[in-house]
Amino acid sequence: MATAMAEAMTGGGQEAVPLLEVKHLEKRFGGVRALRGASLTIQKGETVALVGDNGAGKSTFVKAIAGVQPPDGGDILLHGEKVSIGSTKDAGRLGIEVVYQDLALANSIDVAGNVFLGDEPLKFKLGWFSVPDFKRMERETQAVLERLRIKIPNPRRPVSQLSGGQRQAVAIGRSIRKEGGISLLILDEPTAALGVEEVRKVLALIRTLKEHGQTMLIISHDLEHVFHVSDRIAVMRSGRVHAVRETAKSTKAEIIHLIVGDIEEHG
Amino acid sequence: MATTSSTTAAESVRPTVMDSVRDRLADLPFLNVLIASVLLYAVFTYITGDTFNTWNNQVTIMRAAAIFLILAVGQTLVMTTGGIDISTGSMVGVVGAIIGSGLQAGSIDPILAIPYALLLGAFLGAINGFNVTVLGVPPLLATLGTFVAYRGFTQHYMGVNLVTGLPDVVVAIGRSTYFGVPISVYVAILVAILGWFVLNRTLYGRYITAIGSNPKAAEATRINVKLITASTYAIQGALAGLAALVLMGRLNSSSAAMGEGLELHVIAAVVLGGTYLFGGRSTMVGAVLGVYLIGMLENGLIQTGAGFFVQRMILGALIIAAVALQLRQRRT
Repeated sequence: MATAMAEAMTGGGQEAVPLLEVKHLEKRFGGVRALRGASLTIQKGETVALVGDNGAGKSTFVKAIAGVQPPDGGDILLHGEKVSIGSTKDAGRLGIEVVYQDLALANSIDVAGNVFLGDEPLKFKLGWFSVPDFKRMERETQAVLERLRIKIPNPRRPVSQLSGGQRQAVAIGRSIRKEGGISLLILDEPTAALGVEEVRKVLALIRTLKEHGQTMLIISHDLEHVFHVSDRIAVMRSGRVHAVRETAKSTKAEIIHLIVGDIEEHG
Repeated sequence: MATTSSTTAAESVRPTVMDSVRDRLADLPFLNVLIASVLLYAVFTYITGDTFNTWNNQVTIMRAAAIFLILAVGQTLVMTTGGIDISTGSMVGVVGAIIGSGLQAGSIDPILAIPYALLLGAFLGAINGFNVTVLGVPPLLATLGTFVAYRGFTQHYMGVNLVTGLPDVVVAIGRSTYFGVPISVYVAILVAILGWFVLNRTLYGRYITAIGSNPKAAEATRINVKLITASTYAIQGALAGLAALVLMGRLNSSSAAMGEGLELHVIAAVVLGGTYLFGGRSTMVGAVLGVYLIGMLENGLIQTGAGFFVQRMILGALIIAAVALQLRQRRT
């Protein structure tokens, strides 16, 4: 029914095939039903925020889409076709990338090294002892960062010396670097643990990605930020996508009420 | 930074250059050991008068340091992943016992001694790698186990026997000189250059750095974290095999005690050189300087009349000081 609501919200129900359709996802951990038929539709180029209280199932939902913890039941359709995402590699092949809160950067390696880590262009090929093309990595990293309008004064510095916002940019740069772009970028709490100025930069970065037409799913606790960047807001509750609202037509009060208010009203 | 912003535009150029020089220097992980080496060289030259600062004495230091350098290269790779190998000396012992006995008995062709020693060492190291990555035993304990077990094997295998009268080829590796420099020093320098290249210019070096820096980040990519981590132990094993040959050649013998205590020197040298004990940050140039520093220290201490036991005390204190300094620099 949440799907039905989402379709209603996108207006008109044009024939355009949604980029991602998630239908009735189920996930159990022992006796706990973490996902109880969670459904969500994301159109191409859209930015959807996923909000909800702790334990509502946000991260389980995202892990299912990202192949970290494949669901026990339900369907995932990408570009209208049913896909099976059994691992993060599957997800990567399908163009679904997640930037996690803890970012997973190799601190002692420089910016370009992190952007290309595990996927380096080679100058000389000999298995493990291949020589990466450092110049090309640096050049292409510069290009990616420019596209994201991110300034990193010296990309040769280890990423441990960068600010939180810059690190976020490096992690995002790595995810979207792929030739031809990616279909869905999932950002897990991109503004958590950042200072005010850094938050501003990350939000600007998200808006730049939007301008480029990048489809995004953003998990966030901060409604202020959610209202800043999203097109629609999906509220999770007890393992379901409980409600979806168009950001422009909603208010913080309404979303908060959907997150923690009396459940019957919205069923 | 604060000074830069408070100065005028014209003045601000100079501090920026200074800043960048300072940054560059701070980026050199082996800066400490470089300064320490120069100071120590000066101190010993001053104390001993002429005997320390001579070409012959430097050759003596290098000859002793060659084996440590070969092993320090492998240890640096292991430590880059955040591991440690304290079984190094025991692996040297096993290779010395088996290859040495085989050579003495004539059952091993002297020409094949090098590949055999490398392979046997790599096998012993691969066991360490297996224990660390597949069984998940922490590196310190995994290699403490083989430190004891490999030594036990060597003692069992050799008993009180002493291998002597090794083939000329093997003795030449340890003793001959070329242009006044021992062959073993050339071998060690070649190994160090290869090690530098692998660490700084290849995917392998990138990957072990990533693994040591953030294993989760490495796992999130195509990097085969376990296999690569295990391989560093195998490489260290192979280098222990090479070091065993050089050591056998130099001593023209091998015994149950061969290689005992080598690991202490090697670990001290690598850490003093600026390789971070907890992984992710390492330097081959630092390893070379660290080996040389410890070589100088031992040589200089002997010349100034300090005994073997004093050397050990200083070596132990140096390891602690080096790690303490790293932790301090990491915090700032």
